Amino acid sequence: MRIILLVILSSFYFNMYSQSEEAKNKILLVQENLEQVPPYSCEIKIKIDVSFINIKEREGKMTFLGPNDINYKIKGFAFLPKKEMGGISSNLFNSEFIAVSMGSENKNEIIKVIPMDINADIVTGQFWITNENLIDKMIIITKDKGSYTASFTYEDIPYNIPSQIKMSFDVKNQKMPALLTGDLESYTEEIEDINEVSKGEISIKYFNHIFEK
Amino acid sequence: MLSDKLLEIRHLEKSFGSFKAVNDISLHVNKGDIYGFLGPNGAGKSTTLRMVLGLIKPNKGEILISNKSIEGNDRKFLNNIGALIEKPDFYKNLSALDNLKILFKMSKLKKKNRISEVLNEVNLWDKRNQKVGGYSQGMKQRLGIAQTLLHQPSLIILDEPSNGLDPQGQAAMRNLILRINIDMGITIIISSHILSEIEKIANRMVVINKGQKILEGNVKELMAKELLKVNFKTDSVENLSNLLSNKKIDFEIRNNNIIALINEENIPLVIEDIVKNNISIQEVRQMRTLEELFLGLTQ
Amino acid sequence: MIQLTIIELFKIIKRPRTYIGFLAIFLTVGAMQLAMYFEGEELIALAIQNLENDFRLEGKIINTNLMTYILLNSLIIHIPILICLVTGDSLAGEASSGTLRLILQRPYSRTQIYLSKALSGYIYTTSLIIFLALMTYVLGYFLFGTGDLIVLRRGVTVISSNDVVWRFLLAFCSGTLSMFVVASLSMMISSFVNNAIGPIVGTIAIIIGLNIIFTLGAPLFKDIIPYIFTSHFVKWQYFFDFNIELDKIKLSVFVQLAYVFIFNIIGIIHFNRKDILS
Repeated sequence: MRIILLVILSSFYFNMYSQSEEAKNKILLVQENLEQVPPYSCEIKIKIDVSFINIKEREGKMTFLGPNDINYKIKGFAFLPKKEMGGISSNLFNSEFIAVSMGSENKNEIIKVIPMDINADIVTGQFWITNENLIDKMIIITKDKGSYTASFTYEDIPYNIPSQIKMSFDVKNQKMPALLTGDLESYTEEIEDINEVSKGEISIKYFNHIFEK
Repeated sequence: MLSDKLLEIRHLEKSFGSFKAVNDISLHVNKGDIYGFLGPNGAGKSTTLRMVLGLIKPNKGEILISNKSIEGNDRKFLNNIGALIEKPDFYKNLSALDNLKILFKMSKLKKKNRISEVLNEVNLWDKRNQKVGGYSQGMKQRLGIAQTLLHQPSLIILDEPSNGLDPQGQAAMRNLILRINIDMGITIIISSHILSEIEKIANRMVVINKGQKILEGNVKELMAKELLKVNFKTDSVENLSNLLSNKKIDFEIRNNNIIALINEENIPLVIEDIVKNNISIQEVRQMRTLEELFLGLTQ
Repeated sequence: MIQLTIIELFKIIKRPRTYIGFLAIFLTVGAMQLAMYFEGEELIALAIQNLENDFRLEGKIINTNLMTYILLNSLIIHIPILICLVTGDSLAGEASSGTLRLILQRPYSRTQIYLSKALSGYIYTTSLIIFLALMTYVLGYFLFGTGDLIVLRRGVTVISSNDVVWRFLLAFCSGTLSMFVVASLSMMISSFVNNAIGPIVGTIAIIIGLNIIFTLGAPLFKDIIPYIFTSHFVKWQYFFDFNIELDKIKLSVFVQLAYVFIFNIIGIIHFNRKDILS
């Protein structure tokens, strides 16, 4: 009886260990894909969908020199995502982490990544990885900057660079005192909770890529 | 002198609240007159003249210029009137020339040299570019006259034109007024409380006091020695007025006083009739000069 | 009427106090712009610090468009005061200086004289607003350049620099209409009194008083606020909404035109009936 239990437990842990290793390898393959991307520039279109922000689609250029070195040149004023996929995920993957397979969804493998560094900004990251080892979607939970979700669309762009990234995250409502703006009408409206948090989405389309040789 | 009525005032009344400033005044000004408008301060002279100009709306009565009523919103009658009411006020920050240009354009005038003509007329051409704020009182008065002449009116109203002027200035003003009347044929109404000024230049006059007309007539007749103003103080006002009416003697009733115009030689006869009719008289006073008359009537 | 209006404009141009308004705008706008030039970044940082928590902000926030938008708020109190200095003096000043009886001896009706003064007052008002617009935009352009306009009203609205000029044109038109109401009010008061201080102080007191009452008690008066003319002094802000609400703008224009009409009618009626004793 004990032996059977021992065998069952051993195989369970062995199974878990091999699953964890598999997940980690998957993540490392994803990282490998990311590291292959050379510096490039492309045109971008940025759309914002936040309840209290009114802005038309913005056009501009992006220069990618590395996951932590992305520059934008936008015509006019723009809101850009603070949390960049490249930066966050590269931070996550560059340090020690545990990867746990969470099953699959729509032919994508779901892997949860937990950093070993207790001082890291990120608590966990959950990734939906395609068969081509590309990130289809991810949810990143940070310690003090809330969580955000990013979904990726791929078209025929070399180096498996996404053609569109949609990021959604929590945004605190921006409220200016009506007395300052002289907006008496809003002053007579019912005062909403000033700390109300709503969901915001930034969508960036990438096209006309030019790669450095 | 033509006897056409240029200005006629009929039963004019004006009250400010409970205060009756003008009480049933009727008078007329003939073409060519220099018409004296006499009365002490507060008599209602300025109020009456302001009503003629449409600055104040009368409560009752009628004002006719050349036999046409001025009532209604048609301001065309003002084309025939030039006026200097109370002190001569102008835009102090503008020159005399600019002031007259404004008034010239507002009078819808076309004659190009008119401004220089009137400034020369009042001897202000050399000072035309000086700001009116720096003018002396005499210069302002002359400029006031100049603006009345701009549109070549048939009637000029001057309210106390010699006010604040020294004797030389008063003499110059008198000469100017006479020249305007005689050379330009303009009828002039002069309002004043300086009786000697009126005596010297007016041919007809009216005396008012406390909003009422005291008398009106030809200055020379009023001044004539043979025609005296006799003031009867009596309790039998009705009887005395009947007697005077029967004798066709002009008179005015002032409370218990009857002021009558009587030829000097007829006075004893009138008094005799008064005694014969047992009309009780407390006092009889005769006045010879206009000043005496004015002082007496307005006490 | 045109001749009369030209004469009134001539008088306005020749009056020294006319230039107080232009000088005040020159100094105020200049001071504000310089202050923003040296201290603006800190101020803006305070205003947008919440946004910077969630976004990376790319682009120039302080530019001539933002400065012009901020300075349009001077339409609430500052510009009305400058307008009253001239329009409040139009009838009362002439009454106290004695020139009113001079011009009323001319063959124009009192209505024509009133309207010509009103019209010249509106022309003066318009010139003041144009000067404000040019001063803010041109000086702002030299100091800050151009860029998108960020409006912090009911959230955050970003208007592209190529989409902003027509909005400013309409905003200034709206502001001009608001100032026409001020000019009409001060002229109306001017017809009632014989000294120039009364209309100036009276108009400003009414504007400031209404502003205070309806700001402090806004929830209490929310139903009547849309019909009080001072609440329309900021309606130019409607032109900077992402989706412009035409109905609200139409209501605002209608209400203000009604006030201009009513103030003028009252002024004309009273001026026609008034005895000129000065």
